[in-house]
This record gives sequence, structure tokens and C-alpha cells, in this order.
Amino acid sequence: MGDLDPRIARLKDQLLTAPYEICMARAFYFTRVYRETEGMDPCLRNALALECTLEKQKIQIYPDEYIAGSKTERFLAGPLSVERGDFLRTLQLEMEILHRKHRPFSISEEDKKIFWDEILPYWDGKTLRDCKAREWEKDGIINTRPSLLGKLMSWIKAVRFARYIGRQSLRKISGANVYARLTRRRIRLLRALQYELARNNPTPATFCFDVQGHLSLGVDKVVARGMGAIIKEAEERLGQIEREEPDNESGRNFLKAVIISLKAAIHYAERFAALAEEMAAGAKDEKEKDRLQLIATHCRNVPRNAPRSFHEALQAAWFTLLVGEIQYGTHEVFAVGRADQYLYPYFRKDIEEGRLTKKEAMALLQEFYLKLSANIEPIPEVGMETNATLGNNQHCVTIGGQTPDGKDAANELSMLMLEAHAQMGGAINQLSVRIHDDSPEEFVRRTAEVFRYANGIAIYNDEAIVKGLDADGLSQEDARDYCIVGCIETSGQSDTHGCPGGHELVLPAVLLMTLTRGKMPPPSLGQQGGYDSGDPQKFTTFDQLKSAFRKQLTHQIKVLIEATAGKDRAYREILPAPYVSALMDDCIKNAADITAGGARYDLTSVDVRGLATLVDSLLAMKSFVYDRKELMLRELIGICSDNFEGNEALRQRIIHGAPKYGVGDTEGDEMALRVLSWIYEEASKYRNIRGGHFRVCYYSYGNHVIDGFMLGASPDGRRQGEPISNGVSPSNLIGAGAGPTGAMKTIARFPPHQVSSGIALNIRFHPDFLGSEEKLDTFASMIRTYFRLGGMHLQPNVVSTEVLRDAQSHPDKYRDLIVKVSGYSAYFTDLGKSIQQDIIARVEFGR
Amino acid sequence: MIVTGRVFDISRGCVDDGPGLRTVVFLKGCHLDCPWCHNIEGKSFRPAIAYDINRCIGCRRCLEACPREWPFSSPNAWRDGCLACGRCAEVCPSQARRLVGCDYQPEQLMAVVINDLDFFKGTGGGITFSGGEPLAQPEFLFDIARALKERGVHLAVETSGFWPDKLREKLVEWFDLILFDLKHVESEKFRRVIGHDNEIILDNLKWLMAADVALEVRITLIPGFNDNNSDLTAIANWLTGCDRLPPVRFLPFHRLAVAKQALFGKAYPYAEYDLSEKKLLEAREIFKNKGW
Repeated sequence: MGDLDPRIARLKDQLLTAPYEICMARAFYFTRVYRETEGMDPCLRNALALECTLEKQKIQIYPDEYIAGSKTERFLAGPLSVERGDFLRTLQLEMEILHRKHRPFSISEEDKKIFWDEILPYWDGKTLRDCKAREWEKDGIINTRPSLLGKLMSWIKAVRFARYIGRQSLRKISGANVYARLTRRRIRLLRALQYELARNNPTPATFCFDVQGHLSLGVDKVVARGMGAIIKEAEERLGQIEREEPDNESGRNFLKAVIISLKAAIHYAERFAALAEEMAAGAKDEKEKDRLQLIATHCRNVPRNAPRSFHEALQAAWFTLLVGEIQYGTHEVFAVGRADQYLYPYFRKDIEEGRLTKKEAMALLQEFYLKLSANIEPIPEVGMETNATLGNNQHCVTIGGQTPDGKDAANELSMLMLEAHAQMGGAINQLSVRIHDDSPEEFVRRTAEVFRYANGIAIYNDEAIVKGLDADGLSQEDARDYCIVGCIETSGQSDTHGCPGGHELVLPAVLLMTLTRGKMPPPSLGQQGGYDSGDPQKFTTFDQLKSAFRKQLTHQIKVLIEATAGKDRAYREILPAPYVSALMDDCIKNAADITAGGARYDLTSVDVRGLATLVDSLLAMKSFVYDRKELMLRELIGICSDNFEGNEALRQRIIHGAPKYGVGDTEGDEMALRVLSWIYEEASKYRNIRGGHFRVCYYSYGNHVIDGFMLGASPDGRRQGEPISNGVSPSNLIGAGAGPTGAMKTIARFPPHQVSSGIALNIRFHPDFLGSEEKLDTFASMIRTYFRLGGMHLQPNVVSTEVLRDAQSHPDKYRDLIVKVSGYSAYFTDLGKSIQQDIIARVEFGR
Repeated sequence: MIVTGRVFDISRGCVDDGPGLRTVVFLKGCHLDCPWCHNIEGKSFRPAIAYDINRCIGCRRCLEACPREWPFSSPNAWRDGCLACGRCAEVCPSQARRLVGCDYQPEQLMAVVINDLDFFKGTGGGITFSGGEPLAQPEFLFDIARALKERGVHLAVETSGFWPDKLREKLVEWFDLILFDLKHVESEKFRRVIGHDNEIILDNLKWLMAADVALEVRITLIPGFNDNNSDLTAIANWLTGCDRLPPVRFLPFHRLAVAKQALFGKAYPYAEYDLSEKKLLEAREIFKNKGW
């Protein structure tokens, strides 16, 4: 494989040791433009704000870079989307109450002042978050403005909530400094924070965050044609509308915004060209001069025109993405699509004409990978329990799979992209590998081999996913051209506004509500509680319990979907995304933004987590209460609410004696399949505000750990505060007895249309599992067998428990150790302790 | 009459004992008594109780279920005279006490091991019988092998070679791969340490090498027994004198048994040794020079 290019080694080191910073530039310019454009069309406001940022923000070309383009004024910072509002509280918390001990954010005094004096006061009440909350109040989903009595009640509820989750969990979710001395300013802030929970969680079992994003950005279009061609298309359409539909003002404004945004992006590249030329003129070293001149040449040509070389194609891809990040701000989670497909013509041509060696191509790919990882999200110490900071914004790259006409798509570049990942030992966000029945053996084996050197790859089964996308309404060609977005979400490539993230359903919470007539977990300030789905004392048969659970589930899904509608309306009204829409299929044709349903395919997902915890709990109740009649349901509920205190023997018997999910056992499988179909039936009844379908997704990024803090003990033997199960993986409570195949057999039975938005199956292997050439063959054929049985997704982590433990105690030694959490990849040492423990607790196979 | 087999462990998803992804069935009991054997619970034919103090929640149900008089004079004294009736394991909620050595009828075992058939076929894997000594329960072994062969499962057996020659024909008939665990070729040394003659073993190996069956000779490098130059050279010379040169795989000595000591209240005489990568390389080098 050869050694890592020294330049790449330096770039990698620079990324992994860079301080985490906060840059206010984007927030500042957006605030300025929004202040000046009150009352104007929202598309135009957004485009003008982007234009201003791209014009004014200071730019840098860093040493060793051959692909230029910076997102913020600092080396490692995220563009802050003030207009969304979700992280404003985060920042306030960070500055006022919490202080990250591990790799703290740095923010200059000047920026701090701007934030407090100019940015915050303007956005008060105007952010998407505020608008969403108003929509929810209007629909009666939450009530954050109660009467005096209501206020009193809400404090009682808060105390009840705090007592329910317990002191330890409370510390974990609220940050370490919660007992710090209260100053007047802090009290004011705490009061403002009072209702924050309700603004994300309409009920304790549902989340509806302030995100859309999570889509495949049209990088392929820019690499194929250049932005100039798209501007022309938009101008033609604008002319047509002006002639034929004089009343279509919103369409006109949208297209104008598209043109402004794309021109601003081109102009941004030209600023880099000018800077490079200026730096080149002053450079003493010849090599340095060449480098800068090369950058200048590229930035003069792309993203305006179609690229002329592989190098330029990568530069174009990077510009497309980074402007998207600036337009949308943090949490946008844009996938870059099938890079091995759209870059391949440039790669082949350069190789054939002798202008590029494979070694050079590999170094460029590695630089591109590092750039994709070079993003951070401002997450305070609290979120650190579950999330990583670096590379949290997952820019997924998809390789392999089929072409739109059903042929094998893996090529030389796909192989090189795998090798580039392996050689670097990770340091990339997300590499998604598509495999289909006729994928070449060599490609599958190479993919398996990468796990010897690096984690961070997830593997997808074309047959299952194309079937699912077909059911979602994609044409066969578009379905075969799918790519992966965010963690594990399936999407058409730059034609789908899929909204797969942020609308979440916590199954174990739904179950606990069923068992407590909706009372537990207790709602906190402004939230709705559960629904009274009947008195569990009267559930004399398992079927009665089941139907009560279904009632509760139906209710929770309904609330979640209503909440989603409120959020979507807020997006449509105040926060369209003309730049992203410009690169999305059919938005220009429809003269409509993605938030107004302009994209070719429009979908929304319900993201479900805790499947194994729920199924195991149902199985435990069926077995102990209804089949063996060892105790009454009432007693079991009591024991759970006492956190199995004094009933350890029963807890152990449930863990070891009840049927389980994910061991390839018929009873467990059937129960899981039943739950899947209930959820699918419920979710597919609804349409989003743009007329798109709801589909279902099973992943949990790190939130299954946070859910655990908030939930009491569950009947499967999980204690209060312990994580619920991640993705579709089996519970951490079951042992290694079923081998890695048990879970695969269960999950391979999932009907693709019921999980069409994606699933996350994590399995951890000891490195010995891949210890020889024969074992590598076995690993590759094991994956293929799982896929032939119908499995959709697998993300192996190949790392031993000893290494993970050692990395906990010596984080500096393992700065580039990457692991899969549930869906996304993260730097292990960047993760919070709780989630590190969760990963270590996962069963390890093959030692 | 249905013959039952005594099994002490079943392990799914293994990649070390034969090709592909395999389920390994460990049959209990072995006629040899190798002091380094890492399956210390597999040596005796009698069932035993494993007790894992780390899993014990101290509920004392086992004491109530036990037909004998408690308490005993010392923490491990209950093991003397324990009939392994399994009542304590039955009532133990946390599996801190487990009955090691359960009797299976062929169909019962079949139902358990056939679970991964798709993966056997997809990865070229199958089922490996290990032990103990699987051929110490020949009737059961051949019964289950016949049933599995009907389902098209690839079968391997891991054996010490210490069994009567009348089993040879059937072994070759039912098994696709023999993993032959060769310890030493010098009779004197073998007898001194293990207490048996190795004539039978070497005869069986010779016969198998002449037979039409896939065979892999496995040599576990035992510190002080077969891991020095002269021992390994002797083994290599003996093997080169046979009809064909079988593939040889060296297995490093490992410490899995150390953790098992506490479970079974038995001391493991090789506890202080550790695996040596260097020895492994040396052994490979010796064999390479002999033509492997």
C-alpha cells in the first residue's frame, strides 16, 4: 500500500491537533442582511445574506493545500446558522454555564461581544426555532405560555421529572456545572432555557429538531457541467416565467435567488484565485509559487465551468459543498453523493493522457477526505456525552454499486478511494460502500480488507435498498443511482428532499407510557404527556397489552407528524435554501425551493430507536407475565419503577431466560417484524406539508445514550439511566451466544419497504476475526451472505476492547481512532465517556 | 436406542477451525490428559458446575436447591463430591452457575447448529467438532455427522488421533476435513508427560495421510514440550517420512485457560506461560527448510 504522502500526513496531523474555534463571521453578515431586508421575499433574503458573507468573509489559503477553499475565517470552525436558532442556546450555555473541559472552544472577545450585543438581540423571536414553537403553540402541541396555575404546575412537573431521572442522569444531561453559583444573569438564562426541552420534544417519547438538510447536494451536477450552465438554465426559466406567468412572484423570486446564490459562489472561488495570485507573486520558493498558481488557475475556472482535470473536479466538488455549508450553516449534513462515478471520467482521462499518476490522485483524494472531516459543531459539555465534535457534520461519500441501467458501477477509482481511506488509517467522516449481487469479488474483498487498517466504512445492499426506494416512488434509474446521506439514510442522488433526520421516536418511552397510562416518563415544562392507553391492571392477555401499545404508538406518531408539519411550515415561510435547491433536480423546472416541494422526490422519515429494548421488553412481559404467569403485569411495572431494586434475581432471569431479539430466534424475529409493520402502517398513513410520503428509518446516532438517561428501567432488565439499544442492533444485555450471524439473520428478514429510509446494524469484531487471508475471504462472503438473505446495512467496528480501554486512558495516542456509533462515524477520543462505554459494552466477536 | 452426546460448549461465528464461518461443537471428555489443555472443562467425561463469582448476585438460591448440606469448610470444598446434578444451575438467575456438559440427542443438537446453514453455504463454512476428543463419543459423532451431511453441511473434526483404528473408515466417510492435533512424535517424551503411548496416534495419522481426505496437521507450541529446535525437527522429519506432505499450521500457545481456572476451581499448570511470536516464527522457519 505504501506510506502516506508526507504532505497528507502533515495535513492530517494539522486537522487532528487544531484547536476548536467559533467563528462569528457568517452569523454577523447574515444578521446584517436579514436586518436590512425585513419584509423581503425569504428566498431573496437568504441569497443576499449568502452573497454578503461570501463577499465579505476573510479567506485563507493554508500551507500544503492543493484544494483551496475555507468555510470560515478560522482553520477549524463551523459556519454558525443563527437564523435557525437551535444552537444559540448551546452557545449561551457554553459561554455562561458550562465549560467544556475536553478540548474547549475558543472564541475571541470581539466575537463574543458581537454575539451578545448585535446578533442575539436581533434574532430574539425571529429564528426558525421560535417560529416552529409558535406553530406548535398554535396547533396545541406544546404550551409554553401557561396561566399562573399552569406555571406552578410546570415547576412541579419539572421537579417530578428531575426526581424521575435521578441525580446522576440529571448531572449528565444538564452539564457538570449545574450546581454552580447562580448569578442574576444565570438565573435569567435558566429561565429562558426553561422551555427548551419542549421546543425539541413535543412529548417525552418524541423529538422534532430544527433540522431539515440531510440531503444529497448536487455536487455531481457542478462537476459535470459547472455552475454557469445551471445559472443559464435558471435565467431561461426566469425569462419564461416573466413571459408566461406574470403572477408567479414566488417562482420569480426563487429563480432570482438561485442566480444570486450561484453567482456568489463563483465569485467566492474567484476571490481565492485572486488571493492565490497575490500570494504567488510574493512567494520566494518556486514550488510554493507553482502550488499557488495552480490553485489560482483552478479557481478561475471552477465552479463556473466544467472542470478540465481530475484535480479541478475535486476543487469544484469542494467549492460546491463548502458554499452549501455556508448557506445552510451547521447541522446541514450534506452528502457528496457517488464521487467514484462523477469523478471517474476526469480521473480516467488524466491517467490515460499521462497527466496524473495514481499516487497523485490518491493524495488528492486524501486531501479531499480530510476537508470533508474538517468541520465541527458547537456542542457543549452536555452533548459531549453522546456526540463527537470533530467531523460531526457527516459528509457522506458513496462508492460502488450499480449504474442507473443496472450494470456494475465499481471502477478503478472506487478501488483507489478505498485504498486512500485505508492508507490514511481513517480520518474521514463517512465512506459508504454499495454492494450488489454482481459486485466484483475483488471490490468486496478490498472493502473487507480496509477494516484491517481503518474503521468508518458502512456497507449497503443495493438489492434491498433499491426495492425500498422503489416503494418510496423513485423511478428505477433514480433508485439505482441512490447514495447515502448523513448516517445511513438512503436517498436519490441530488434529486430527493428526503428530510430523514430529526423526527425521532423513542420506542422504549412509548412502552413505558403504555405501562403507566401515559404518566411516565413525566412531561416537563410545556410538553405533552403520554396518552392514556388504558389501565395495565386490566390487560389480562398479551393481546390487550399489545393493542394498548399500538394505541400509544399511534398517538405518539400522530403528535410527531403534527410537530413535523409545524417545523416544515416554519422552514417554508422563513428559511428556504435557494443555493441547495439550485442544485436539486427539478427545483428550477418547478421554480420552487426544496422547502416548498420543488424537488423531484419529496419524503420525510420517522427515525425510530430502541427497537431491541422494546422487543426484548415485550418478549419478557409475554414470557414472564402471560405465558409462565410468574408474576402479574402490575408487579412487573412496580419492579421496573423501583429500578429492580431488591429484585436483581428477577432481572437476571429476564436477561437470561426470556426470548430475545437479534439472535435469529423465531419468536424474537416475529415480534420485531410485528413492531416494524405497526410503525410502518402508522407512518405511511401521513403526508408531509409538501405532499411527500413518510417512511421509516432505524438509527440513533448517539441519542440512545441520552434516551437512557431520561428513561426509567424497562421490562427487558435494562436499569434506569442505562442506554437503550442502538439502531437495529441487538441489546447490549445479550451475550455473544448467538454469534454475529444471529443479528444478521433477524435483520435480513426486515421487509425493505418498511425500513426504506435505512437501518443501522453495528457489530463489533476483534481484529483477529480478519487475521488471515482466508479469514478476510470469510468476512467478505459473510457480508454477501447477509445481503443475499436480504440484509440492508452493516457497519462493522473492528477494534478490540483492550484498544478502546487504552484509548480512554491515553487519548493522545489514539487521536485518529475512528469508530461507528450508530450510523455515523466519530473520533473515539472525541466522544463523551457515556457513549465510549456504550461502544465498549457492545458484544465483541471473533476472539 | 438413541445415542446421546455430551456437549460442553457450542460456539457460533468462528473463523479459526476450518474454512469459512463455522459453528464449533465441543464434545466433552478426552482419554488423554495433557497438562496444557486449555479446555480444562472438556477433559473429563463427567458434567461439572462452572461458577463465575463475577456474575453471582448472592441470592443463595443455589444453596437451597443443592441436595447436599451447606455450608462447606472452604469456598471450593463444595466441588468435592459434587454430583453436577445441575439443580443449582437451574435456579441460578444470572448464569453464575452453569452446568457444563449437557446431553443432546442428535436431533436436538441439529436444531441448534443448523441455524447458520445459510452462512455455512455462503462462506464455505460448516460445523467443526472439537472437544475434549470428539472421537471419544464415536456413535453419537457419526450419527450427527450423517444427519448433517444429508443437509449438505461441510464437516470438520479436530482430534488428537487417540482412538481405535476401527473408527478410521467412518471418519473419512463422514468428514470433509480432519484437523489433526499433533503433539509430539517421540514416544518416550509423550509417555512421560501424557502418560499414554503415541503409537496409535501416529498410526492413525499415517493412515489418514494415505487416505483420500483433506487433512491439516496442527501443532500447538507447548513451552518446554515441543517448542524447541530438536523437537520440531523431529516432528518435521517424521512427517516428511510419510506418504504425502500435509499442510501444517502452528498454533501459538495461549492463555485462555487462565480465566477458566476460577470457574472450575482447578489450577492450570501452564498459567505463567504466554504465547511467543518468536517461537512461532522459528517453528515456521524450521518447517520451511524441510520443504513446507
